Amino acid sequence: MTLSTEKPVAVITGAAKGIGLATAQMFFAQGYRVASLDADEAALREAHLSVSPGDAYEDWWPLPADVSSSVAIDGVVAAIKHKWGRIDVLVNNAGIAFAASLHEHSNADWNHVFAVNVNSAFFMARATLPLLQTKGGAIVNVSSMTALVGQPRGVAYTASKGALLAMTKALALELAPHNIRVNCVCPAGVDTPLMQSWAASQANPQAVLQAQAQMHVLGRMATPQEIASAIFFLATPNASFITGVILPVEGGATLGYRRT
Amino acid sequence: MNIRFDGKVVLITGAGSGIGQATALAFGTAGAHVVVADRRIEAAARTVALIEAAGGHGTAMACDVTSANDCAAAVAKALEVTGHLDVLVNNAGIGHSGSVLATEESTWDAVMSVNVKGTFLMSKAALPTMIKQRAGSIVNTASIAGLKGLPERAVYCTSKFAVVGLTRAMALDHVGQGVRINCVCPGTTETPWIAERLDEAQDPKAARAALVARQPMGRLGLPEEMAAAILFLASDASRFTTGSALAVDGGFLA
Repeated sequence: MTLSTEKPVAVITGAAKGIGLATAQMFFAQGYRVASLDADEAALREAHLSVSPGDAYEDWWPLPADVSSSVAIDGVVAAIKHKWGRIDVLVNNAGIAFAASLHEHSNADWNHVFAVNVNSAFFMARATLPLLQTKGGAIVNVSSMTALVGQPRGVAYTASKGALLAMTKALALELAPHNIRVNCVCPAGVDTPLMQSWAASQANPQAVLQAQAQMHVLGRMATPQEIASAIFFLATPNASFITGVILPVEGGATLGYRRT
Repeated sequence: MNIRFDGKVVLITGAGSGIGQATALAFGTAGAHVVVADRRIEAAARTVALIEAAGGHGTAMACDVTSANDCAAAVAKALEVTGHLDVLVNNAGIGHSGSVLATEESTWDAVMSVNVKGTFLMSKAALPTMIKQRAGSIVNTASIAGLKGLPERAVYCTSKFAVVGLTRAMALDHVGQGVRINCVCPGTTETPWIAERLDEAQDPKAARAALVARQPMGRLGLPEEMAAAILFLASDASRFTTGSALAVDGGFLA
């Protein structure tokens, strides 16, 4: 029997809902301890309750944290180090969407999007590096298909996701000698609570969701689990020679023209 | 993630050695019945013996992928197992070192024929079955040479860029029919072909050191690591991914 102290540890940001939650559940189901970071405390508690109570209950650790703050992150990572003593996987998933025209972007909007989507990944990577180094760990960043092809009404969001692509490549090269792999997934439309609430706020929610589905050549949005399975693959020894890779998980949305 | 293929039938070309052999063994170990196709039947038989020694099931098949008849026969052989074909791995390929000036016309034709036409012919043979099933996954073995120009690899790069292009085009054509098509792009991998190239070098040790020096991870890839990526793309774990080219290169392209 494996001692519980030997369980690998996955640290996942934005883990209370959507892709982050599905990812946390996948690592947990595969025997990982999960440090689940999110700014939304209520959602974190709800997610924790969704884990079946039992021996492993303590292996799911909800950590309320503002990941745009390096002070908050350094504190959280120190706590993980103290309690579990290791980090094997970091998933930088926390992110916010911001849809507006260029002239509607205030300085504060731009800075906020970059603080949550980009600074958080940098702070997390820097803080977890000493722990990742001892194991030969893996980092997976969650970018977006918009970083590959652009998107109107989203200059800050698209640029922030593009920054994650470049950060992935730079860190992959820098950390390869330490046997730390750094990769990135690019989802397109994913059926998450965020997507549903956004659609509900539109004039015709059904038409909006239909248009989202049709954007992908597979004719539907992804499930959060479909993004999670790609993240899980890249984070585990199955992908031991894969680093610096940008993997689209976008149902062919960036592929090109197709018959209509 | 424990990817399983119990009850599935998988056809792999060029499966007598290197990445193809490791992939056949990985599918066999994961529960698939593997049709091991190779130009050399004795090499295919050796791979089947490895699969059986690991407790799996396989069938050896002599197959020259540049022959439409051979491709059709390989698909027919796969269909004899259970009547369906779940996964095709177009892995057969040949390498060549040299600039355009150092490439004979016959060499150009041979490389393009195996690497590109072979992928086309085998896909053409397998697709009708997969479309009828409304399910199937094709994984092509491209290369980092299909994403970036490399020195002294004129025809090889050309052929692998073509494999990536064919992957993307086929993905769009057949997405509505339940068939996903992706490719892996291995970096320099510990295969018999690489071993032979190193043996030919004036100073094999120095040649190996030079290959390793250009790898960010400080080592070459292993055939098993390419196999793991192929299994991922062939499996439901990647069911929202089609038309993608996944580099498995230790950071070479990062």
